[in-house]
Amino acid sequence: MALLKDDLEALRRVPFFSAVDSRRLRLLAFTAPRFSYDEGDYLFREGDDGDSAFVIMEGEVDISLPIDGKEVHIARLGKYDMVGETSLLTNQIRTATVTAATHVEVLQIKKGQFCDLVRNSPDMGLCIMQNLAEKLSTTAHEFAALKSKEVSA
Amino acid sequence: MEQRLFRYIWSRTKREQLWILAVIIASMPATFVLLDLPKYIINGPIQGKGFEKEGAVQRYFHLQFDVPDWLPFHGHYDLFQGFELERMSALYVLSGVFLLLVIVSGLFKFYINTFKGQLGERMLQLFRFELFERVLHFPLGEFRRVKPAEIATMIKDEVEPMGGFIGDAFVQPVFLGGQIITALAFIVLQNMLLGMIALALVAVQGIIIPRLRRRQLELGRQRQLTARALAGRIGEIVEDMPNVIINDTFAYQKWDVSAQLNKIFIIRYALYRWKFFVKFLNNMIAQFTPFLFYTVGGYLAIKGTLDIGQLVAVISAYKDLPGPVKELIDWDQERMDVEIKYQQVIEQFTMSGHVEIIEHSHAKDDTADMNGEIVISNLSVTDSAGSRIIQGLSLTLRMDEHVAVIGPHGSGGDALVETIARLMPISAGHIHLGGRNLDEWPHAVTGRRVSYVGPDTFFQQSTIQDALLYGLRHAGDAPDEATTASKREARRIARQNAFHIDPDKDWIDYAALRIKGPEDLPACLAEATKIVDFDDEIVGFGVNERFVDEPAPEEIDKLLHARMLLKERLAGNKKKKLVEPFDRAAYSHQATIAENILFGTPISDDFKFPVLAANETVRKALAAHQLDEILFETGKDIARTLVDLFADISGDDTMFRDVQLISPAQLPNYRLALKRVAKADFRHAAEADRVRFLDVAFGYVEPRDRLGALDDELRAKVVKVREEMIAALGQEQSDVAIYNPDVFSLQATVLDNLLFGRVVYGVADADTRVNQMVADVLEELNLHQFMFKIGLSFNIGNGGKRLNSGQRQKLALARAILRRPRVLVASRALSSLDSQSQTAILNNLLDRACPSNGEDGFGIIWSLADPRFANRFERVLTMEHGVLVSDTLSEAADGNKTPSERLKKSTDGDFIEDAKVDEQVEAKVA
Repeated sequence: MALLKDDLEALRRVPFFSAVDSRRLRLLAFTAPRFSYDEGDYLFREGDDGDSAFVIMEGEVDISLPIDGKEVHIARLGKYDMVGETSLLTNQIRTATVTAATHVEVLQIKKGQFCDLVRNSPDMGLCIMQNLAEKLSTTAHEFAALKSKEVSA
Repeated sequence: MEQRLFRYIWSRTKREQLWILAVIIASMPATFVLLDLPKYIINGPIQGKGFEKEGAVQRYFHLQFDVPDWLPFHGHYDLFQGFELERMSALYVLSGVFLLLVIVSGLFKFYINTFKGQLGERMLQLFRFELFERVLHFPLGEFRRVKPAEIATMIKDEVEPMGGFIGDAFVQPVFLGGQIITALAFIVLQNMLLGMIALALVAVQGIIIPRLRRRQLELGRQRQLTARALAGRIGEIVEDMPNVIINDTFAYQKWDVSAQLNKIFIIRYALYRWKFFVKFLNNMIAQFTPFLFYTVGGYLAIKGTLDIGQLVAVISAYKDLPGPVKELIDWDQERMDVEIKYQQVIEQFTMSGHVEIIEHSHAKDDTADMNGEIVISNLSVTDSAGSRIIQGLSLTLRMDEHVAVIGPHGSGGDALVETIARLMPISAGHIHLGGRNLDEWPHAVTGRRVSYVGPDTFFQQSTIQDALLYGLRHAGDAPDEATTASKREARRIARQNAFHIDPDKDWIDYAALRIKGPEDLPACLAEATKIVDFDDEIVGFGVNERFVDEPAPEEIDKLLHARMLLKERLAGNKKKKLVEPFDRAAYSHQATIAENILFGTPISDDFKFPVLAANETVRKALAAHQLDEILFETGKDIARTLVDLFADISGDDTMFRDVQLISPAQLPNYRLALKRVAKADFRHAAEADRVRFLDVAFGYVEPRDRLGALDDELRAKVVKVREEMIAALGQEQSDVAIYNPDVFSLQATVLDNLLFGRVVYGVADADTRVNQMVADVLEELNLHQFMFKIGLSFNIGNGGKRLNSGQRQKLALARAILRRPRVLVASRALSSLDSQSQTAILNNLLDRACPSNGEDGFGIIWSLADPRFANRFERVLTMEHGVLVSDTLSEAADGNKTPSERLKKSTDGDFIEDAKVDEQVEAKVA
């Protein structure tokens, strides 16, 4: 069984939390419940109400989107990645489905805790902004590529 | 209501007051003779006056009187010749008569007092009832101004003294006045001079004292107002507790109340001082009279102008005088006091001129009339601040039409719905329901045929079943039409009903539910709650409850069967362990240490968690294995870690929300305690600290808290202590119900019984999955209905606060449709639910609202929070700034489709329809 001190060690390696001071991190490790999922379990599905983010401590997850009634695989995330933070920031329903690709262990960070963390560690906020900006620019590039394909077709 | 207390009392109790007066007058001769008799006994047989000669006799009880010549029937009348008695027999007879009169006048007093008491209490009951009746008929706006606690304290406390007074209102002055006049007349008859002295002093007392007491009354009035304000304030603060916590206004609220208390103290103290000063003065005057009697009367007796018998009689008559005088003055004081209270209460209850008791008409519930159309013509509605929220709205709806009203907050949709529900007054225009003006419909019809559900829900504390049936509590409030000939008569009957209470009456209008009686209720309620998707949650409540009454043995057997089935299935779920079953020989990892030690459900309070660490039996068992010392250290370690973890975090940080081991408020205490026991082991620590740290350890669950505080040795010891405990607790298990796989424990919740173990921590959605498995098993064993029935008796708490807001909205909606309304009006009635649930419930509801196999449908007018749901309705009204800007028929409404067909269609074309509505809105606005 993973104990608090193991969780803490793991949390220190999560890039998102690199800017969070260790005292808060310890607190987070203590208050965030740890859950396990089996392969194929859903962490959440597109359209669910989102009230928490997950830090993957063990295993890998698949992110997918339903397009024209079919699940389209978008990305695979692994150890020390965070999923589900977008709906905490936007107050909206889940925009994608996250499935456990292997046995997965996660720390669940509830909305209030997440906001507290961001409020108390501006660097973490910045980190999230950078992350989102990267995602946005990737999406923009992909969109541009798609468009040009359409035009050429 | 009468403005003057005396008129109120007189108008309600004329007959009784006159009767009691008559009784008092009838009792007076006895009182007079009782005063007179001692003189005869002393002067006659004792002193021997008239018995000077041997064998002399005296005539006693000779009743005669003369009517003076100037009156008709003048002359001498001899009513009773009386008896001639010797000295000794005179003594016996006179003393005997004295004893008889003592008994008779005592009985009179007894009868008078009980009659007065009954009269007063009855009147108090009536008065409170009438006040409450008034409260029920306050216009809704009034309730926004008054504090509930103030109304409660007025009805409960402030009118209380009136009860004591009402019985005395007329009787006391007559009774006491009679006594005073009798005593005075007696004294005057004995001796003019002494009589005059007594009279003068009584007059002084009677004039001065009441004057002095005016100030006392003014203080009393202030006391009443401040006490009422205090009740209102405390009620308000208690209601607002969440805000006190959120804003940390503890200190401010304490100051607030303590200022109020201080004000009350100052008034009360002033009141005491004045009261006792007046009392002192009163006593002085009263004691002045005997002083004069002794000196003047003694002088006269010595001089021989007054015989000693007379003086003794005067003095003994006078003994009866200060009492009644004082009481009369007290009565007068009470009168003023109560009168002021009465007026203040009445003022509150008639503060706005338009508080009129609306006579509930009990006309036959004629729903056939409520057909046709809802015609709204030129309707304007203003809010309490005077601004217009609906302006000149004209509209015609079919009674059974399904209408959505959309528009931003404050656009008038909610107000429209509330106006139709009669919760908002119409300021101009009309609403006609089935050809009759809304205001002319008796409440008896609209209160049964129009259902309303608003966004805010409030429920009186009750069970789910009672909350559901609230809208059907009509049976029996309608006397036959013939007896309601006059309003007065109806009111009299209502009052009689208030006095003659049938405790078994359930008030439920079974006919409206179309069922025969209470035995059909569960099925009926299941149907209504299914529509709002609440039935499974009710089963869930049942599962999480303890049984109040022991269920039938066959149910118990079924439940134990369910436990077995579940165990098999949980064990069959190889993939993941969801529940850790209780095993007497093994430590349960998912339970707290305390639960592991007890291995059962505590019954007596001494074995419940917060005091467990101080429990002697537990401590003895722990000590036998030195576990007390070990757990004390464990507790210290845990506390140290927590204190350290939360060192810099303020108490209201969200981080604290999920910490179950220690409450944040306690952290500073733990910090201090840790310092105290830094160098002390268990044996040297103070008992309070021992308990404190044992307590921390007791609450620890390793998979949840993950501090690594347990090892196998400790777990093994806990299991040993468990056996020790089970032995110590004995066979009868009166303190703790030990877990037993073959026994259904009535002390534990049904769920605990079924699972017979703990849901494991750390497995995602374990609770949901287990609950699903439980629900499946219950369904399979036909226990679903049984558990639903148990769930119906779930107590929803004050205002329904034990339910979450979504559940409350479901409950309110279920209640509204349960009674088969003609029209359901709703305003943002499902706004607390997520959109999937809203969709599902609206689908069910609209299906139910269409007439089908023998069921009448009903109309719906729904002011929607989310316009995306509008396309599910036949007709969509769009309001903006109190004006109707668009009125469209949903295209599906043209065809003969059922709502579900329409829904199927509209869910596919959600956004297209939305866009269409938007276009139309724009077109109208343009």
